[in-house]
Amino acid sequence: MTPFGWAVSLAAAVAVGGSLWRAASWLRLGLPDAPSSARERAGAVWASLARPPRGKRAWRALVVLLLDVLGQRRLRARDPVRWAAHFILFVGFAGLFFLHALGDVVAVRLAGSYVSTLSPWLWLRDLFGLLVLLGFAMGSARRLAMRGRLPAPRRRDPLFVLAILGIVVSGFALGAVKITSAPAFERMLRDYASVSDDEAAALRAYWGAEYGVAFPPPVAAATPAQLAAGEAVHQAACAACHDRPQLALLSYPLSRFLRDIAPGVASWGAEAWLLRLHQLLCVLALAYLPFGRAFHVVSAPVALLAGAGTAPPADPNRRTRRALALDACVRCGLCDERCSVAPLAFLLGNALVLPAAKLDSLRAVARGRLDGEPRRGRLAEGAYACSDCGRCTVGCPLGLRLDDLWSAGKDVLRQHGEPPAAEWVKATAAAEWADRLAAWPRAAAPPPRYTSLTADRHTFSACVQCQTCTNVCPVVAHSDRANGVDATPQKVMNLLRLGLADLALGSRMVWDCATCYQCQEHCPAGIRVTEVLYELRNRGYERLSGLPRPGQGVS
Amino acid sequence: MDTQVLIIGGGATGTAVARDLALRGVACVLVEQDDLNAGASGRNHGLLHSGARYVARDADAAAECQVEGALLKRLAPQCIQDTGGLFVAVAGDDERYIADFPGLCAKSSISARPVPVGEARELEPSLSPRAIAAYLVPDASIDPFGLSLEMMAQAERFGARLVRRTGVVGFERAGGKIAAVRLRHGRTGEERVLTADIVVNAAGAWARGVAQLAGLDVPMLYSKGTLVVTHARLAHRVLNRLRPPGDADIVMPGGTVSIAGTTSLTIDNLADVRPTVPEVDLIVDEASALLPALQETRCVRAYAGVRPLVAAGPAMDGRGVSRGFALLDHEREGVANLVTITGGKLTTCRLMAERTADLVCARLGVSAPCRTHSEPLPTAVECQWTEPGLAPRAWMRAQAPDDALLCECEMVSQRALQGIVATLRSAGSDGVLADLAMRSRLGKGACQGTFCAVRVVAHLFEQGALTGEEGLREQREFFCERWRGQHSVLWGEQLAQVELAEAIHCGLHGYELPAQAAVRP
Amino acid sequence: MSETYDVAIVGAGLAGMSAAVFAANRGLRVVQVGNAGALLFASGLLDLLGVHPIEEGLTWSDPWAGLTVLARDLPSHPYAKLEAARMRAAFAELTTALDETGLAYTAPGERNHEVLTDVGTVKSTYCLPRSMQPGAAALAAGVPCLLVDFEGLREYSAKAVAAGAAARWPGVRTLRLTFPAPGISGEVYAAHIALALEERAARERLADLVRPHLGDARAVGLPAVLGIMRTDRAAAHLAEALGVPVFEVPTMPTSVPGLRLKNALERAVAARGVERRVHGRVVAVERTGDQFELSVAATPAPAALHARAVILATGRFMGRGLEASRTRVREPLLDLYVSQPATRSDWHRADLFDARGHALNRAGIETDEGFRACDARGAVVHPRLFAVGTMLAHHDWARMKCGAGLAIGTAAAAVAHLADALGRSRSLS
Repeated sequence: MTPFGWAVSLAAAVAVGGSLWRAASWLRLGLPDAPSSARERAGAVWASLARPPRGKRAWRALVVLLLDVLGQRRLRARDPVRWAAHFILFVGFAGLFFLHALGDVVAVRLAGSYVSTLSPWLWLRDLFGLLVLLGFAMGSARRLAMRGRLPAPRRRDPLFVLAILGIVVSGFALGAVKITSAPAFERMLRDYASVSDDEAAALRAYWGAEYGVAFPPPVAAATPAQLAAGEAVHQAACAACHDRPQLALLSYPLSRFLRDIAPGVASWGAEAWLLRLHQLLCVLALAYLPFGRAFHVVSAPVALLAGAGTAPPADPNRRTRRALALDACVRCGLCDERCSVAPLAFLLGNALVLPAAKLDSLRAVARGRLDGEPRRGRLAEGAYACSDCGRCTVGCPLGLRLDDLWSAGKDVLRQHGEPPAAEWVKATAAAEWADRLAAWPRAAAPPPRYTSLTADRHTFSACVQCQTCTNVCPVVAHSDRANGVDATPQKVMNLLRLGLADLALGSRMVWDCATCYQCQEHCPAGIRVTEVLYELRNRGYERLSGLPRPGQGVS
Repeated sequence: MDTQVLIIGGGATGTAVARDLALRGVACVLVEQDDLNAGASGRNHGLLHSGARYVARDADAAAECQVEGALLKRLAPQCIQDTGGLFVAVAGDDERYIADFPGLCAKSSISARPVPVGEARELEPSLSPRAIAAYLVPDASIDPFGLSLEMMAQAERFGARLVRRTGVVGFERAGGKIAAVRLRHGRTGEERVLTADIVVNAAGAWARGVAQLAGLDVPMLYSKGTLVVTHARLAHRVLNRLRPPGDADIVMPGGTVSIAGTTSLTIDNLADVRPTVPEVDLIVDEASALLPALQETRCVRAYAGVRPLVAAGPAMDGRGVSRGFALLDHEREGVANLVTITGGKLTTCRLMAERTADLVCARLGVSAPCRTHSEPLPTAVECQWTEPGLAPRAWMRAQAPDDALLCECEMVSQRALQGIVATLRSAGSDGVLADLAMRSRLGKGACQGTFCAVRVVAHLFEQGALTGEEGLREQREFFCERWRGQHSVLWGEQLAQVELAEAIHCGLHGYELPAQAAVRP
Repeated sequence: MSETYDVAIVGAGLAGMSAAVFAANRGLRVVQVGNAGALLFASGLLDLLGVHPIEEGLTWSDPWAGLTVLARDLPSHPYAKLEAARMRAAFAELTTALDETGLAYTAPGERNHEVLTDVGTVKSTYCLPRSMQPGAAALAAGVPCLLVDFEGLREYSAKAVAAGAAARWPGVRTLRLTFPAPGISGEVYAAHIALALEERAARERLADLVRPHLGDARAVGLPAVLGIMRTDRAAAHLAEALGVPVFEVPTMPTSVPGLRLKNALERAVAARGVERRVHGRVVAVERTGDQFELSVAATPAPAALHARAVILATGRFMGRGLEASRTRVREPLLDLYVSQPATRSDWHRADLFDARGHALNRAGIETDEGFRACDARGAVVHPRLFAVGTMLAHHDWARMKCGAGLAIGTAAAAVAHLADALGRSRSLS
């Protein structure tokens, strides 16, 4: 086997081995801690795969494979522009991979033979390469146009990008060089054509004129008789394997650029170097498969297929699914774009409000790396800000169950002593919170942030005490006397008016409010009742977070 | 003798006298024609003066205020919110007065610390941007209702008796003394006679009328003052205008509201004293120099009281008369056992009572000393509900599963009102709406009784405290009384509130219709 | 955005909703902006005329006769511009529309009904919800009756009602129940009871609690809590379970009948294809050429509407159709002339219940015979700008008990004149 062959085999081994190792992490890692062993989880996966109705599920898997994996239908539904860029790139790269790199295997099976210098392979290769470049260009243009509007810095994978681009660019360069390469011509002539010197001369003339070879000067002009003779020789000796190079959509125009310097380029062995570069990049790219963004070609299809069916409530594969989701996320940022509380990330200065960043953090958590108060605090704040609207989950093109991840995240926080704010606030009575706030040294209290409504008298000055807000409140309507709300929307408004907002900050009413907006929509005086309650909740979160909780020391 | 001392008038003065005497072991009966604090004691600013307001014109009064104010803060802290105060001058105010102010305060031993205007605006963000000078003074806010109620409660615990809704209609004189006092119940018309060794006339603005019943005259000046109450509190501290005392100089923090005032109009008689639209406009316009927010803030009501000023001579205008008090011993005028104590300020009520009690005890031969300058005023649970903001805090703390709020605006609960009713019952009278309103914040909030009157009456019916037509009558009277306060502040949002009230109580309930409405068939 | 409506109705109270229904019924393209505002406070009773003259407190059992007298005595009252025939038709049209949405009212007839209120007074009204009608009948007949109230429904005490009505209706007994519904701190809210009573099982439990106490009662009265969506079904079921007629007593806010009326009118309006901007507030109205442009402040984005005609039905101070500063009353949208007393000192009388009523109540927008808004000199501001409802001048609806009639009648008249004007202008263009 050639050295290249060895390199490819080695890279393939790395790729396969690495992918298996990475896939194994889906069985090992989990959120919260995974008491089940990897073997148990593997068994559960196998059992669910083998579960009937097998035929129906196999059919569904096929549909998912075709439409979601190959067609990327979910992405198209969510972001047509990005889908177009990605699909074009995908088609281009797949074409290059199967009909060029694996031409000897795949193309041969399809068409009987594979000769890279013959049509259609000649122009298909260039076409696919162009598609890859076009896809990249579209993606980059979009990125540039949206610069500044994207919510959070996304993890880039420059190696991946450079590898793909490098392969394609080097391939085009190689093609261009080969077209113009006189040494290549001579080599081919020596190896494959048994012709006389005159015939060789005629062939040279023909190839110099029609096939773009740049012979080193001086080059005599070819006469028509020579060209005709050369063509005849060409037909006999070369045409079986060589279609006109003009079919090479990009390589040929590129070669025209190089024509003047081509002899010099060829003289220092550019062709060989470019070939080695091209091969090297391919090998590296192959070996890179299990790392970085490259792995999405494995994990994304698996995620799409795994999510194809609905999981039963007590899903034995739940942890595996979570680990898969954490790994399969490609950081496309569609969840961030849809996050309904995204502005809070800027207001709070906390990127962990946004889904993509939260997922990254949870990935670190799953690997046992939730350390440090600041990160935990920010994760808790992100969990508080999340409104559970589900738009991120709906928006994920891979169908990852983000809502389940956030739920797991809350469990993790609970384990680390940070239960959701609503839980620890409601564990203490509102009056006691007010007492503690009164005892809090004012100097150490943070400057109040959430006061735009509640500090403005005009917010509530129009209240005529009609009780409509309370009457339409479903939370009060279904409040359990023993364990329910301790105030009503009207009472909260009066507490504000009486200057007793501190009594409301830790109240059940504020923390149980479903923000259904019935009160605000019905209020005859146009008071923004819901927004007041929500602002009080944020104010409560900010101020009560700094107080010691039962069982805690002074923070 | 029915009792040793009969005190006429249940304001701050009368209740303080009752307390002082009771603490000295003197038996006394306090007779009040309406309810406690029905006069000026229930219609003032609620300001516990540092005295700085009077340093220029009335240094004695200033010093008095300073001493008595400190005493009250120490002995009756439950009635007082030590908010502190600011004297603030705005662009255009008398520069000389501003310059003289600190020196005059020092002379009267009143602490007046200058603060930079920027700092003052940080302390009070709603202060006018045109402020040019500011001084911090130890003003405080006092709850006059809580004060009178607790003084009377302690007096009653020491044996004093309170007779409400009963006015004096005549004195029977015999031998240069008052032999008996004729009383009449304001509602039932029932008359009776009471005998006492000494009669103390502490009837405030009505003192002159009472004296005249005994054939004497106490020349008084009636100075009407109006105050305006806002929907929510605008400032934390007392804000005084740093200029020669004039109208609308003060904006008080009244717990959960702000109270702006006041005016000074000399009036002839005490009939139907109520705030007027021009007075309210004057107050809002003037006081908004200190607090611009007043111009567009909702005001829920206004009230007017009459200052009883003892006229020292002819043609004295209201502000020029000393607000010092006058203790008049009518022995010199032929009535040996009648004493009139009048004038004064809320801040000096204890001192007035001490002087009066000293005189009375000397007359009676009682040697027990005064205890009110050292004895703290005990908190009485049933008297605490007048404190703004206390009822909601108590209710949120208790979280009792069956304790509904009957007044939502001020968050006064069923249990609180039941406690008041029980207290009134044990003193021999059923609570009516007006009584409950005086002893709590009922009806003082945004809706001014529109909703809570109905709830309380419903509750009283369920308790059996009301029967028959009483409920409708109670509500009508309550609404009429609340109207007196709202009538002059009906613009903006309060007007919308009143429109709702009229829609309910006239449109639906028809309270304005005659009891036996004529029906055209 | 670029479409032009025939009429834009500003205000979603009784007048605005009635106007929307009437206009849509006549085939006009209608857009309506505004919140329900004071409509939520409605007791559910529709008054035509109760008292005139208010100085005497004279109540009418024949409101049509009263209307005639009133029109003669007060020629500037809006009723003086309405013919009885139009008023009858308007009431019929509106109650029909309400009936279609499932909120049944008694048929508008010749006489007022007398009903017991939630404080025990007796009120005369013209149309009442069918759920309250058995109460009027029982009162008229003076039959023994059982009034039920609920522990925790703080504004309503059956004892208070019975005591207040004792002179007029002696045979009333009372019963206090603990309603099996959740609440907070001993408080129970009418709308929550009403919601619970939408369920058959809850009604049966209630009937079980009442039945042992029926005695000789020939009617059972409850506060107005018999369901929110299907009152007819709740009332009928309860009556059947108890074996006697069951009636609702109108209550003060929060009034469930007010909620029902709001919901029913919204359904009626929506069913007629009226375009609604529910949470918009009109902040400005401008005349652009021959049309009106209304700026609507709303989330997510402000909008502009165009209409050939505008009906202002923005109410008085509660609805912010009129705004009062310390010195005068303004109409905020178009700064229309508001006739009013000279100074604030004249606005209200010293006695709240002064029989003459308060002068400010008669302030409002002046209109011509066709309910077109007029300026200070009495000239019509614009031939297709109308003002209807309580915002008009020269009435005292709370004292005269004529609020609903004012809203419905003036809305009908304005729509009729509007349709004429549009018909005329359409044929011109």
